[in-house]
Amino acid sequence: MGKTGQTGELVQGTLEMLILRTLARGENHGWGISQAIHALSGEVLRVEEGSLYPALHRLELRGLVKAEWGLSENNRRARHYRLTAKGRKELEEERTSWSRLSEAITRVLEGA
Amino acid sequence: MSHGDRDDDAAEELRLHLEAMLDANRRAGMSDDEARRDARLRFGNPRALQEEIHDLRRAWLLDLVADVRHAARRLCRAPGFSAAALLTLALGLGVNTALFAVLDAVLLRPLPYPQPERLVALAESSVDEPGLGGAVAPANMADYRVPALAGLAAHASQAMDLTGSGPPEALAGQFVGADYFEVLGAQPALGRRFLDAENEPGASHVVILGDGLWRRRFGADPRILERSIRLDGESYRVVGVMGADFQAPAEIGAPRPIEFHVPAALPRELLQNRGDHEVDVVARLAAGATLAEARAQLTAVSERLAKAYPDTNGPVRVRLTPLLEDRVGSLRRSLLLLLGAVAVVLLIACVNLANLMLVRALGRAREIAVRVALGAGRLRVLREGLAEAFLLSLAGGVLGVALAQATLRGLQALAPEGTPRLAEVALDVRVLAFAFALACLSMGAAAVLPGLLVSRVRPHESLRGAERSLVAAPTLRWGQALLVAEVALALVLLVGGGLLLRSFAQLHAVEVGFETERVLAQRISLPESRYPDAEHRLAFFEELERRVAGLPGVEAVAFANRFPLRGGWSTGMLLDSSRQGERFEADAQAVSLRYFETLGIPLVRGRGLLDSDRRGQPGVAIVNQLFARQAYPGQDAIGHRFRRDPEMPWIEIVGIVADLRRDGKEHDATPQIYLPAAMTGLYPVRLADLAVRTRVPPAAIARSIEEQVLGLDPEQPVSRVRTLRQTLDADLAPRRFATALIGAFAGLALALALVGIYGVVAYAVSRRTPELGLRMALGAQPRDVLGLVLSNAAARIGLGLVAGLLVALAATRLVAAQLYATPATDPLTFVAAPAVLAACGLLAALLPARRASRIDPTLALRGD
Repeated sequence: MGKTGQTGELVQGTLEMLILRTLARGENHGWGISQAIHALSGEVLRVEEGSLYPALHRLELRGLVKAEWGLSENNRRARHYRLTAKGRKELEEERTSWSRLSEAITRVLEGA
Repeated sequence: MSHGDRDDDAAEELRLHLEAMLDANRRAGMSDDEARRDARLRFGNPRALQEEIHDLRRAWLLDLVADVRHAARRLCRAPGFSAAALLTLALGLGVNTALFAVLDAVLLRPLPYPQPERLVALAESSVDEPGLGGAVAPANMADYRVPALAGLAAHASQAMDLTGSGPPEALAGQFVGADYFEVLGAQPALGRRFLDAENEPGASHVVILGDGLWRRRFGADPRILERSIRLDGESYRVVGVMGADFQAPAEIGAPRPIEFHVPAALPRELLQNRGDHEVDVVARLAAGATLAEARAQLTAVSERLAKAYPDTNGPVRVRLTPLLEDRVGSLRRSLLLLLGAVAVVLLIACVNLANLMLVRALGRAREIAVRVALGAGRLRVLREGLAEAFLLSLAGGVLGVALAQATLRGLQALAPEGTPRLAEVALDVRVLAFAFALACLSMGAAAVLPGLLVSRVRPHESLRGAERSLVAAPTLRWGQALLVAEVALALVLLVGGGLLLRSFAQLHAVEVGFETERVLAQRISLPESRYPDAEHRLAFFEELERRVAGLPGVEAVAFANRFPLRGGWSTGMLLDSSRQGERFEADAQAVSLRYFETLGIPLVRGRGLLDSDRRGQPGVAIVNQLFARQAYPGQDAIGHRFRRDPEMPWIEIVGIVADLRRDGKEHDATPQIYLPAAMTGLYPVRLADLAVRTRVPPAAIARSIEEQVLGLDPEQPVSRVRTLRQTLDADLAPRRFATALIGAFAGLALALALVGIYGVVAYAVSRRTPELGLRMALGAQPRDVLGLVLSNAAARIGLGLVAGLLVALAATRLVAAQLYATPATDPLTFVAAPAVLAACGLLAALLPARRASRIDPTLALRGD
C-alpha cells in the first residue's frame, strides 16, 4: 500500500468512489462496471480486475452496495451490484471532498 | 451464508467475468489464443484474486491478523526503527519485570504454611526504647495465651556441634516450644512432631532434622528414625525429618539454613524470671479472631503485668506483627526504592518510544494524508498504527522477559547473603502476565501521541507539502517536550545514584583502625561437657596458640572471647572516680597476649599485656583512648581503677591503645576495655575466637589450623572461618548492592536519555535541512550552523535539567535515611550529576549537529 497512483492506475479510495458513481446510474455487474468506468473516463482509466473485485467486496462489506445473482443483458448469469442508501450518502460526501481536494491540487500546481 | 458459499460465489463471479472478457475480445476480432492471453494478462492470477477476496471476507478478528501481518511487513522494512524501539522497550521491561518478580516473591507471596495470613510474630518491646529488642521473656508467655490466639510457641537459634558421624561440624539450629510445629501447621516428612513430655527439662534428648542435614550428613537414610546422633557430645534420638519444602520462620532472611530442631525444655529458673528476654515467639490467630482483637487483649495483659511486676515488666509492651511483615518488612523500603528507580527507567523508555513512533508517523504523514484524502478511514489508519504497536509490544515483551531472566540471575548472584526468599524468585505466570501487560501499556502510552497527531492529519494541507510545516511544527514541539521530560527523569535517577555512590565512597573510606586483610578468624565454641570452666578453655586456647604459632606463614596468633566485627560484650563498670552506683558503659573483652600485635592496634601509652598477668595476680586492664578520655577527663587514666561490682576485685589500668571501630565502618568508635584472658576471674564471657595474622594468603592456612584443633580435640569443630576483611565486606554488602543497582539503573537511564537526545536532534536537523542549507547559501559558516543546532539542543537540555533538579530535590528525601555522612542535598552530587548529563547530552547532540554543519547547500535546497 501507500504508493500513490501512477498514470492509468487507480488508488483504492478513488476506485471505490468511481464504482459508487457508476452504480449511481443503476445496478450493474463487475464486467459492466469496468466497462462503464473505461467509457466514462474517455478511455483513460482502465480498471484492473485485480483491484475491481476486492473493491466491490469491500464496498459490500461496508454496506455501501448490495449484491445479488441475476441475469445479464445477454442472458448470462452475473452478480449484480446495487447502491444502498448508505452508499448514496457516501458518494455525495466523497464527491464534495474530492472536488475540494482536486481544486486544492490544481491551485498548488498552477501556483507553483 | 457460510464462508464457503461466499467463496464459491466469488469464484463463480470471477469465472463469469473472464468469460465475458473473452467474448468481448473475440467480438473485437482477436483469435482465441490472443483473447485468452489478453484476458490472462489483465486479470492476473484468478486464484490469488480469489484469495484476496476471501481474506477480505473474513471476520474483523481475522482482519486484525491481516493488519498484524501487514504491520510485521512494514516493521521489517524499517529495521532501524524496529530495532531501536524493541531494544528500548526490552530494556525498560527487563529491569521492571525482574524487579517485579523479586518484589512479588519477597514481599507479596504468602509464607509456606497453611493459612499463613493468620500467623503473627509476637515481640516484646520497651517503651523506653521502642525500636529495640523484640525477644520475649519465656516467663511471660503463659500470660500471653489470650483467647484471640489459637496457640503460640517459642523458638530461638541454637548452635550445636555434631560429632560422631564424620568430621565434627558446628550446626545452626533452633530450640522450639512444644506447640511450634502445630502453630505453623507443619508436619515432619518422616516421623513425628515433638511430644509435650519431651519439652520438660531433663527429658530424654530428641531431635528433628532438617532435610538438608539429613541428606548431607546421613545420606537421606530412610531408617534414620532408628538412630541417634551426637550433638554437643550428647546423644539425641532422631524422631523426625522435616520435608525439603519446610522453611522455619527464622530461616527466612537468615544467611544459613536451620538444620535441626530440639525441644526448648526451658529451665525452671528461666520460666520464673520475667526480666530475661530470650526467645522469639510465633503465634496463630484463633478462628474468627482479628489481629486488632488479639492486639487489644495482649495490650490489656501487658498493662496488667506492668502493674504486677513493675521491676521487670514496667516498660514492656507486646507487639503483634503479621509474620510475613515481620520477616520481610525491613526490605520493603529498599525494594520500593529500587522499583521506583526502574519505573523511571521505564518512563524514559516510553518517552523514547513515543519519540520514535512520532518520527515514524511523520515519515508516513504524506502517505497517510493521501490515503485519508482518497477515502481510507481515519480509524483504519489508526488501527494500522495500533497493529504495529501491538506487534512491537509482543516482541518487546518476549525480549524483555529474556532480559529480565538475565537481570534476575545477576541479582541473585550479587545480592548480599541472607536476603529473604530471593533464591525462590522465578519468572512464573504472574510475572509473565505482568511483563506483557506492562509491554502493552508502555507501547500503548507511547503510541497515543503519534496516533492522535496522525489521525488529525488534514489531507489538503498535508498534500500541499505541509509535511514540513503544518504537521511538523506541532510534532517537533512535542518531540522537544519529550526531550525535556527525558532529561529531567534521567537527572532524578542520576542524582539518586550519585548520592548513594557518594555515601558509599564515604563509608568505604572509613578506617576501622585494625588490620583486616590478613587476619583470619575462626570460632571454636568449646562445649561445657568437655570444657566445664574458664580454666579448661584457657588451657585449650593457650595450647592451640602455641601449636598454631609454629605453622609456616603465621605471623602472630591471638585468641579472645570475640574478635572485632564478630559480636561482643558490653558492660557497665564502676569507676574509682565516679559516684556510688554510677556505671560507665563500655565494650569489654578478654584478650590474649598478642591480641594487639595480631590486629595491628598500636599501644599509645603505658604497657601492653605481660605473660605474668595471670589469675591470682592483681587485676589489670588496657583501655582505649576514648575510654581514657571519657572516663577520666583531664586526668591520666593509667593507674586508675574500676570494677564490675562492689564485691569484685579492682582492675587497674596499665596501658592505653588506639581507638578502633569495633562494630565496623558504620559505627563510631566506642570506649573499650581489654582484660587479660589469663585472668579468668575477671570476665564472665567464654573464650571462643582464634585469629591469625598471616604472611601467606589466609585461605591457605585455614585447613592447617583446623587440623591443629582436631589434633587437640578430635570432636571439636571450627566454624565462621573468614578474614576480618570478608566480614567487613559482608557488612557492607547490602549497601554495595543497593548502590550498584541504583547506579546501574541510573546508567541505563542516562544511556536511554542520550539515545533520545540524539534521536530528537537528528530528526530536527533532517527536518531543517532546507532551512540550514539556505542559511549556508546566504553565508553562514559551518561553525554557525553547528552552534545553532547545539544551542537549540542545549536550551532543551537545560530546561530538562532545571525540571529534573526540582524533582530530584523533592525525591532524594526518600533516600536520605540510607545515606552515610552525605546530606540528601549534597552539593557535589547536585553539581556533578547535571554536569555529567549536560556534557553527555551535548555530545549526543554534537553528532547530528556536525552532520548539519556539513550540509551541502545546493543539495539541501534542491531536495524535496
